[in-house]
Amino acid sequence: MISKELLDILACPVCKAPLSLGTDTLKCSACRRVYPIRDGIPILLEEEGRIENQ
Amino acid sequence: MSHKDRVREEFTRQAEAFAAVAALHNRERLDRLVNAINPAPDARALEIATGPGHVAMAMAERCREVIGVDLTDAILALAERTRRERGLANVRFQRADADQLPFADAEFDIVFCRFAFHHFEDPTVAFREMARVCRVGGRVAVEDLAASEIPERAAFQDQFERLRDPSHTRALSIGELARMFGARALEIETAYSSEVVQPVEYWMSYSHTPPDRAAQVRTLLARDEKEDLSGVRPFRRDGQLFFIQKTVALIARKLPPLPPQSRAGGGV
Repeated sequence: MISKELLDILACPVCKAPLSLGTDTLKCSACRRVYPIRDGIPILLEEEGRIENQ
Repeated sequence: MSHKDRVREEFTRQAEAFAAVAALHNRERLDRLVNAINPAPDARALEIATGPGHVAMAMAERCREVIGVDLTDAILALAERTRRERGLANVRFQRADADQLPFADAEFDIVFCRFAFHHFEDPTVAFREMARVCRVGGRVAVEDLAASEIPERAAFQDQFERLRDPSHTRALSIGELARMFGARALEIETAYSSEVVQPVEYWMSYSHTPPDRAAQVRTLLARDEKEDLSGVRPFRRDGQLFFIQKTVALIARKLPPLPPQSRAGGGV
């Protein structure tokens, strides 16, 4: 579970913009990369992020 | 294979043995570092390349919250297991690349890293990230191997360290480490050096160094013993070969951006 407090300090590893919580994902508000959350742990690595189409 | 793949491969292979290494979880060494950093009870701290999480957990006993990040899943799983065994609720571990920290600027009161800089391809990248996520007035601390100030001697140590563990890149000298702090407006407030006496065979056993490479390491250390080539001062006791890794810890305070008039030159 990603707490609000944790979400506040997390940022996109690539562009450092804030992230928003999706279903088992964290999405960057700027570069639109979507990172997985596995077993409750966000995997915030550039290689794990896929860029979402509009 | 990229260097980061090599790091992941080595620390996956070495995970269990590495986590048990006495020099890493030695209580006295941990306490010395935590005391030197001296966290406020309400501090939020971040450890880069936390590995088995020994330092993160020692720090967590003294502050509000610690996050430990590492590139390697296998070693984070060990850290998480120890965390649960010790019932520490204020530490969390997660995967991240030290070169691209997934945190907003200035979110931490303390950012620290121990015995990892010699695994980084370009330590200035990770260091810049550490400085970025630390708040002004917060502390940044690095402890690592301290190589000779003389490049040829430092290179000799790197050569046998790399043979033993291919994820070793280069150990910095105290001067190089200190200049990294200066370049990021971090005022070093505490510095101390220490030593780790390494029994060569044990040191190569927990890294699972293959026999051919281990033989090369022994040859280099035997030369070093006779000719004093790196500063690690190999010696024998009861037929066993040892050498001494110098280490240094630097603890600094992040300064606010310098006002323009205080920049070099001054001039009235």
